[in-house]
Amino acid sequence: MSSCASPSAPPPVPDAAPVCGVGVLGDRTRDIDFEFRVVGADAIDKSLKDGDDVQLVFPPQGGRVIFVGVRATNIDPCAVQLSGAIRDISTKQVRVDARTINLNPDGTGWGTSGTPSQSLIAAVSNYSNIPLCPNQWSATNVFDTQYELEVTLKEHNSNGAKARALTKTIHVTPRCSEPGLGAECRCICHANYQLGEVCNLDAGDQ
Amino acid sequence: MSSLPLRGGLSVVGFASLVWIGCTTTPAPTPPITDPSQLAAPPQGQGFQLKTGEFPVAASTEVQDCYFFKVRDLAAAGGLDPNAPVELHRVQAVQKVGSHHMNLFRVKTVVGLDPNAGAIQHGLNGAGECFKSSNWADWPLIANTQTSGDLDWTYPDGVANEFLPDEWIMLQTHFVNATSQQSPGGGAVSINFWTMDKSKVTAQLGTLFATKQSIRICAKNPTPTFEGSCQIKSASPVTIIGANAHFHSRGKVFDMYTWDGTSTSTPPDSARFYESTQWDNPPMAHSPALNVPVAANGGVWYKASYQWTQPDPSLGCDALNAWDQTKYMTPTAQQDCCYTFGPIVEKNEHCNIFVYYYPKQDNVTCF
Repeated sequence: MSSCASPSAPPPVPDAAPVCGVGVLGDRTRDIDFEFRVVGADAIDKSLKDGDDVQLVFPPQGGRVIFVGVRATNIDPCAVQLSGAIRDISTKQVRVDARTINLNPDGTGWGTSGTPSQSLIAAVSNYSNIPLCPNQWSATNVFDTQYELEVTLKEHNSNGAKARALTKTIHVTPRCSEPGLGAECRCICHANYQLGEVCNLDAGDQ
Repeated sequence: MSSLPLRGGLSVVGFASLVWIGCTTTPAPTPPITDPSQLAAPPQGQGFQLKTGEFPVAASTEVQDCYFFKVRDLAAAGGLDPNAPVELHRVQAVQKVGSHHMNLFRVKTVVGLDPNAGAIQHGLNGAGECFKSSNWADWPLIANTQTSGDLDWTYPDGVANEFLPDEWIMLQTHFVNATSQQSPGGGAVSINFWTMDKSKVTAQLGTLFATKQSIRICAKNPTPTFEGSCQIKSASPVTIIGANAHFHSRGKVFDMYTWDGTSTSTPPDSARFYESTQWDNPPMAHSPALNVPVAANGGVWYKASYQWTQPDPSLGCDALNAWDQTKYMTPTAQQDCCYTFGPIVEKNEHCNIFVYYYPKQDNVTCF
């Protein structure tokens, strides 16, 4: 493999400790912990556990995604890196999205991706937007099939030390359950979908 | 020279055949052409030229215009068979200093930007169909340049980008004459397409374009990094031969890496094939310097880092918050002087990559 085509100096991104107006959540001398969270088309932040269904949502950027967040503790909540990935269990292929977010304290020593009142369109930037459809990648239908969901939460490393991080994996089943959009969802999320393929939206909806 | 006028001041140009008598001494290096009017069209039968003509860019404005060309017309003007596919092998582009970007797309699904609605479709300060990126969401990129405005790229031997006679090509120019960038001399773009004989084509060029629209660079989250990937679904390895990235003035570092399609974290530095630290003049990496193999069913991982800055005083946080509320329905309590996805340099951000590879594949997905 060739080296970088533009061997310029290291990135001039400031490395000062970020300040977001929120103090440490929990006890930073203990290991980071987090729970999975998810937000659907109703914009409500919910808990997500191993074996749960997860709604495929039509996002502003098009296609279908799942919005996965966290509720975390024992962490500096400012500028944490949230990475979400869905893995096809049979082929090991993944779809990934990673972004820097601030966690919102819920008053119990934990902080979440979501806020008590949020619009979906504004919330999406605080959750991992894991893109699943159009399905030109998975060997099976994306909907009604179980996938592996992997989330990594990494603390900002402002002092040059190795950043503290935690990765967890659960299994989830995406569903085309967004009201009024089921037929299109099942079309663009079916196995072997081809970009530009005409969807029969009269095929009924759930 | 022959010139085929089109509507609204566009023109395609072809020159009569020229005979070049070579000499035995090595000629001095030719300085790059920086004036679009000085770019000579390819000789007849070897290609054709697309031109916009000159246009003004008033102070404190951003002009983004979309020009449409039918491949058949271009081929005819260049002395090529108008009923045969065009096999593009070399692209030359020259644009006036000050351009924010120039993108050349192959038209696919028509949404709000219809070639049949006019050969030139004007956009000003964010308004107009030529500013709405959803209109060209599935239009493959042919070539692009940014502020420095020049490109001369010959694909590897045997590699061509094929265009059918009834296809449309869209040339999009974005000139900024404001605080962040200036275009005092107005705008103009000239592009040459040099073709090759179809019988000598051994591989088609593929292009991919990714745009991450869920970005947000805010006062209380001032140094965010966003990462995504594109998979090139191919049973055999492909080769990346071109790359360019695009963000606005809050952008600090834009990296691209080869990716195996199964890893979930940023690839190692050894896999990085592109880096840009200049938002207003990002490098256009291309072959022969860029020649990177990608494993079967692998692809590209991209990563963009930003630094929030105070908005221009003429806008202030009020303008950013107003956009956030109108465009993203963000409640007042969550507004944080955020730069969000959009085309206006002064108050929006972008996170786009352009990658060129061969052989072309049908299934390429980017997020």
